[in-house]
Order: sequence, then structure tokens, then C-alpha cells
Amino acid sequence: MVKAAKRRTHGGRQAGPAVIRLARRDARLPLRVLLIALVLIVMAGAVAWFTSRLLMRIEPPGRLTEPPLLTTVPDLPDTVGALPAFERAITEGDRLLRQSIRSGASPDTVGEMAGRLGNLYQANTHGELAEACYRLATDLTTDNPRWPYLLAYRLQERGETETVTPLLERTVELEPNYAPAWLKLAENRFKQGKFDEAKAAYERRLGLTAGDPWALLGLARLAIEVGEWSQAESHLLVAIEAAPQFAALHRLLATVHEHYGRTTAGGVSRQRANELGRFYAAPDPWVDGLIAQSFDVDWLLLNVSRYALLDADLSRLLFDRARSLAPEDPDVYVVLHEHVETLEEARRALETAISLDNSHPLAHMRLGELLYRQGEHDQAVELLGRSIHLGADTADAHRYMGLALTALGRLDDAVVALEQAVARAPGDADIHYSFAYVLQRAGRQFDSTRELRRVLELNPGHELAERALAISNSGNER
Amino acid sequence: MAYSRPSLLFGLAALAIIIFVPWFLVSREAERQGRSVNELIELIVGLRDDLAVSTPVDRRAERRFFDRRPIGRSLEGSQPWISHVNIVDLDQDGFTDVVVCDATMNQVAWIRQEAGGSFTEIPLGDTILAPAHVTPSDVDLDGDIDLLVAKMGAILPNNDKIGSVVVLENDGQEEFTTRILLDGLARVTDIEPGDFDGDGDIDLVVGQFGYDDGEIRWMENLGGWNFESHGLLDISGTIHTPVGDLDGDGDLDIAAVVSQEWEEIYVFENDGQGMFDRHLIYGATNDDFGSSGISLVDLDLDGDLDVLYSNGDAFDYIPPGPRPWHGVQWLENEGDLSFSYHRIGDFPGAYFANAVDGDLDGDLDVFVVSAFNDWDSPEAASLAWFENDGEMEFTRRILATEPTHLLALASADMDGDGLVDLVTGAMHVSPPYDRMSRVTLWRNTWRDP
Repeated sequence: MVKAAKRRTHGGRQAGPAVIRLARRDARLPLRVLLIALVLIVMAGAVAWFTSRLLMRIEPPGRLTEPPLLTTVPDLPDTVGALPAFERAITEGDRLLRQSIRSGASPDTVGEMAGRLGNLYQANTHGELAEACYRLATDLTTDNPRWPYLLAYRLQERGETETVTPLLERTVELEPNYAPAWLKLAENRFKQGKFDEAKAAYERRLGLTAGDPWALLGLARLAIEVGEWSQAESHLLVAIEAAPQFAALHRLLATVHEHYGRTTAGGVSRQRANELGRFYAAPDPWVDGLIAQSFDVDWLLLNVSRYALLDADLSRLLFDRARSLAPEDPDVYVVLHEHVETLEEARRALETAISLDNSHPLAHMRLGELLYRQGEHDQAVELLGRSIHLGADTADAHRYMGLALTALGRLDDAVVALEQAVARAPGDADIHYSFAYVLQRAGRQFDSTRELRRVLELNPGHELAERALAISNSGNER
Repeated sequence: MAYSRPSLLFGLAALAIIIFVPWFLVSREAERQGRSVNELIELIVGLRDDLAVSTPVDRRAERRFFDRRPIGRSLEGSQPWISHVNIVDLDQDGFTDVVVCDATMNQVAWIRQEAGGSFTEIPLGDTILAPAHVTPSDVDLDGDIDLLVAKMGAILPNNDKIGSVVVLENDGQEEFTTRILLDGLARVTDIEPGDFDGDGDIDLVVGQFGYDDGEIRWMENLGGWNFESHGLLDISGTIHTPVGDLDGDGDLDIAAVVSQEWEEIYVFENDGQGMFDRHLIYGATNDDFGSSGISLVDLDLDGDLDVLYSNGDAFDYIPPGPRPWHGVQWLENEGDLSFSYHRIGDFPGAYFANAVDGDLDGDLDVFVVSAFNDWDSPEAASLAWFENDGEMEFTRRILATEPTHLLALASADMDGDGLVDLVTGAMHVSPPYDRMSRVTLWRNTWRDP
């Protein structure tokens, strides 16, 4: 009853208490909103924390925890198709470098690790990775001249000039006695038109290697650029005395002679240059030596040929390394046959290549040619036929096939083979000459004469064709 | 069941937090890792266990927007040596034609386009041994187009004086007479026309590669097919000698790329009277750089001529093959005949480059052919383009891996559709011979992705 009375009482006094209640609620509202906001914030935090935990599970390894320097280390390259030894070597090099960074080793130590990994990459034709490593090494080490030099070398390989200059300058500052760096610096300055600075660098090199033909050649070029022809001539004469076999000196001397109107002397110098062959680069041990770290057999074999004339010892070293890395690779023996001294050695090398890969077109073709030269015509025909079947469908393969068939008296087949050769190389005078020979042996004198005329059309100085045509003409006159 | 308004608001806010906070974090992480959100969610819930960061797929990178077809003579069992292609409407009939140097047939030929886009090949003039370069020019100013032909005499290295300066003179009916202007030269690789002395006739600049002996000369037109030679440079290895006003003074200068052991680019600055000052504007100190070609083009569209430059020559190597430093670069003209080097990108065996707006975005992209890639690899590219992002940053994209051994490249709108097409020529000097071509038309089919 009391409660009912109270309720009624309340009901009977609506206006006054409602206002009071509202006022009380308004007073509690900020507190409730605050509480709700707090709950929501805690919830958001919890959700964010939980999500982050989930995301951390799929974070690439080491992403968050590693030192920033590690981001400058290049990722390992794709090694599909590479020798396992190469993969092992770069993995180990990369591991050592990363470990040195993680363990907080001194900048010099990290730089050395980076440089050595760069060496491996450079030797294995991963230039961009080498460049990244050398940049790291150059930035971190203070006293090793190799890293700025090798970085400069890499950049200049791609044709850079201006960015290379400070690196070379730093190299010679750190190692003033490394003559190849002075030569690179001199050439770098010369090609940028900085002739005085180039001259100074050439002279520094000359001071280190008296009579150096490359420095003297550079000084002679510089002298010509500024119109000092007599100075150029004296540089060249000194250089020729020191290095009479360096063709480039004789060639430039010919230009000097011609400038002075000494036509005969110019001709003699040019003739001498042509007899001596091509220009070759100066030795550069810091770079040349790196190829010996290569696991790329194709690259090694290519450099075997490149260094065969420049540095026979290095060429041999590279070949031995290629053979030791890939003793079962037939290409090793195809290259070997080009560098041995006797036909017998060449034959053995090619036979080894074929024994390793019985479907090697080039090995079959070369052995076919060789056997033709050795007079083993039956075998030559068989090998050349197989080489064509395998894909060495060249004019030369058909040509030697035709010549071998001629020697065997199979003249109709020989004519067909030479027709195939001519179809593949209609502008080759030597192929037409062989065709003329085969036609003549087949008794087709008229056709043979036509081919000889074609040879002379293609190469007016073809002595054998001239002689054969003269004989043919005299026969016709009789 | 009724909910109070505060409860409803609270519920909605909580739901938003539960959905959007994780979504925001996952999206941000996906972007950071270069993955899609789906990929990341699959990783979180364990549907995928690959933890490697995937490379974002660039749809443009996959586009090969050229249809190719051979034009001109068929292979006919030969191993073609096309040393140069050029595009010109030779008979001025409104259809763009192609002229080619065929060093297998020792012939310059005209691949004439007819209505309907069919092509017929017509040999021009006499036999020319190892023609290396053909340039259309009305040399005798009689209103028809003659052809300047650089005769090497032999494509492969040779020191003999077997080159010639040849003109195929057009009689106006596209019958051509062979005129030899100069003979007994070191192998000639380029002839370009221009009025160098300002007397109103067409003079010539001649690049002679030679082998160990070579030179550059300009030949002053004295009239009546008589020319007088003036030496410009006396070293071997010249490949191209394009002509243009490089210093912006209104007369024609000459640029030249000299390979061999020099690997240099020169500009011969003309005083307008045919007197030239020589400037060495660039030189690589890599004596094995392999310079293979230059052309003059305003690549950055700033109103002056820059030099587009490829290096990928390997004729000297046995066997011919790529080098890690082969690629393309441009020399930016900074005025006063000062040029700065910018690498565009690596491309093994890069032989010649053309600057063309291939994707119609208003900047010039660079298209390149490769003659000496590693053809034993099926992935070795023979045609690529470097897409310009408009800021002169280039991204390489492969267009074709076959046919192989592409040495020559020219570009023009061959079919009038407003897109620049390409024409390539192949030189098969070495095996493999399984993906051969002679002259190929690459029709541009670009549509925005």
C-alpha cells in the first residue's frame, strides 16, 4: 500500500521529479560515453594487436629485425642452370656478408666481405649484383683501393664516364703504384676531353712502367689532338722501340707520316701494323685475375679465345678451370681443338667432344672438315652429313661435303652438295671457287668457267680463280 | 526485441572496429609486401604457404603488341645476311616501301608496297658486294629518289680497300643505274647526304669502317657527278655518320660513331661553309664496348638533337655472342656540343635502336634489335622496347624471341593507321639456323590496356 501510494504520489507530482531525473542523467552521460569510448578503444586495440600478431606470422623472414645495412645487400640471383659449385660459393659469400652485418662487425670487415662477394658476381657475369656489392664495399672500407677500382671498372664497362672519374681518383690516391688505374684514369679523362688531366695521368703511368706502349700511345693521341704532330711522332718512336710488336703504334705512326706527306713511310708503317694484327688491351691483374673465380663455363671458354694471344698463361689457366668445372662438357673440347698445335691433337679433342655428345653439330662439322684435310674422305662425308642433319646446315658443311665427295669420285653428289653450299652463301667467293673446281672435275667446263668468273666478280683479287681461269682459257684456245 | 539507441550505436561501432581495423592493417601490409589482400588473407588462414614476396604483375609487361609477317623474297634455303633496311616511298605512289641491303645476294632491293598491303621485291641496279647501308636521297635534285649505297666489299673483317661509294640513280621510272662515285676505299659502312657548304647541292659524308684502317670523309659535290673528298678523321671502325644540326646554328653537322678499339662518338661542327671542327663528345674506356649504331633524335623532346646509341657488336668474336655490358644509352644534348651520358638499359647483342612513340602516350620509347644474343637459349630476345615513363626512365620489355639475329631496324607507319610499325632485317652469320628470317614487317597493334 505504501509503495502504491508512493507510486501514485510520484505519479501525482510528475513535472518536478522528471526534471530532476533528467538532470541526474545528463550528469552521468559524459561518464557513460567515456566508458563506451574506452571500451571501443580497448576493443580496437585488441583487434589491431590480434591482427598484427596474425600478420607477423606471414612476415618474410627477418624483415623487421634486421639491421638497415642488410637492405643494401643484393638478393641471391636465380641459379637455375648454373653449376652447383657456383650456387654454393655465392650462398656462402652472401651468408658471410650478412653474418658480418648482423654481428656488428667493423665497417672494414663488412666492406671486405661485400667486395669478395662482388668479385664472385663479377667473375660470373652478374654485373649488377657485383656493382651493388662494390658500392657497399667502397662506402664501408677506407683503405682498400680495389673496391673503388672494380666499381669503376664495372661502370665503365657499361659506358659510364663521369661517375667513374672520382672512383679512379680515389683508387690512385689509395694505391698510387697500380699502373692500370692510372691508364684507366688517363683514358677516362681523355674521352671526356680533359686533355691536360689525361696527360698527367698518362705520365704517371709512364713513370711506373717505363716505355709503356699504352701510355705513349695515349700521349701521342693527345699530342695529335692539340696539333703537336712532332711530339706525337717522338712518343711513337720511343714506344715502338720498347714494344715493336704493338700494331696500334705503327698504325698511328702511319697517320703521322701521312700528315707530313711521307706517303711511302706511311704505307710501310701501315703494312707493318696490318702484319702485326689487332690492338690489345693492357694487362690489368686486379680484373684479369677475377675470371679465374668464374663458374660460368661458357664465359671461361670465351675468354680462353680472348686471352689466347694476349696472355697465354691466363688463357691456359681459364681453359684448365673450364675443364675441371665441366669435364663432361663437349664445348670444352671444341674450344680445345682451336688452340692445340697439331691436327692430331685437334682430332682427339673433337673425338672426345663427340664421345661426350653424339649430337653436337659443330663438333661433327669441325671433325668432318679436319678429316677431309687429312684425306679420310669416307669418314668426312659421314660426319659432315651427320652435322648437317643435326643442325649445322651451313654453307661450309655442304662445301666440305662436296669436296670430300669429289675426292671419292662421287661427282654428281658433289655437284648437288656445292649447289646447296652456294644457295646458303651466294655472295661467298670461296664457295663459288669450290663449286667451279667440282664442276671442272665433273667435266662441266662451261659451267666451271662461269663460276670462276663469278668468283672474280665477287673478289677481283682472287688469285686462285684468276689462275684457274687463265688455265681454262688457254685450254680453250688450244 | 527492442534495443535502446545507445546499445545499437555501441554495437555498430564495435562491428566497425572488428571489420575495418583488420581490413586497414591487412591492406597496408599487402601493399607493403606487394601482394593482393586476398593473397595475404589466404596466407593468414593457411590456404597458401608461400612466404616469398611476389612481384606485382605488370600487365603492360606481358603485352606483345606487334603482329609480324615476312615481306619480300622468301628464304629459299639461304641463310640471309640483311645488313640494312630503310623505309621510303621510293616511287612516291603514297604507299610506304622498304629498301634493303642484302649481303647474301650482294644486291640492293626494293620491297614495294602495293594497294592492299602486299609487297613485291625488286632487285635494283647491278651487283654490289656486301652493301652495308642504303639511304634515300635526291642526290641529283631531279625530283626522284636516288639511293646512296655504302659498299663494304666484304661483311666480315677485312683490311683490303674493297669499299665504294655507290649511287643508284633513279631515272624517274624507278629504273636504277649504278654509279660508282669513289672506289678502292676501306670498307664503306655509311653514306649520308646534306648540303654542308651551303651551295644548294647535295654533298655526302662517308663512313669507312675498314678494319684496322678506316676513315671519315665528306665529299663536296662539284656538279656533274664529280665530288672532291675532304678528310675528317683517320681512324678505323666508323659505323654510322648521321647528319643533323646538333649545335642549333642552322647548318648541318655530322655525328659519327667509331667502334673497334676506340669506342668513341665525334661531332664535326660545321661553320656553314664546309669547314668542320672535330669534337670528341663521348668515349667508352671499355675497349670491348661493341658500339653498333647511333641515330640523332630529340629523345627528351626539349627541342635539340640527342644521340641514341647502341652497343652490342660481336662480329669480331668467335663464336659471336653477347657481353654483359651490351645495351642502349642516349647522350643528352646540353648545348654547346656538350653531351651527358644516360644508360637506358641492358640488352645483349643490341644492334640498332629507334626512338618511337610506340604506345601513343606522347613520349618517345626506344625499340631495339639484337643480332648477337645467346640464341641457344629460347628466352633470348631479338626485339625489345624500353618504355619511357615520360620522365626519361625506361623499363625494358621483351617483344620477340624469334626470329633471331635481327641486325637492322627501321620504323614508320606502314599502313596508315596512325601507329608506328617496325621493319627488321636479319643477319644469320652464325648458328643456330632454326628461327631464321630475312625482312620482317612488325605491325603495331597497340591498344591502351
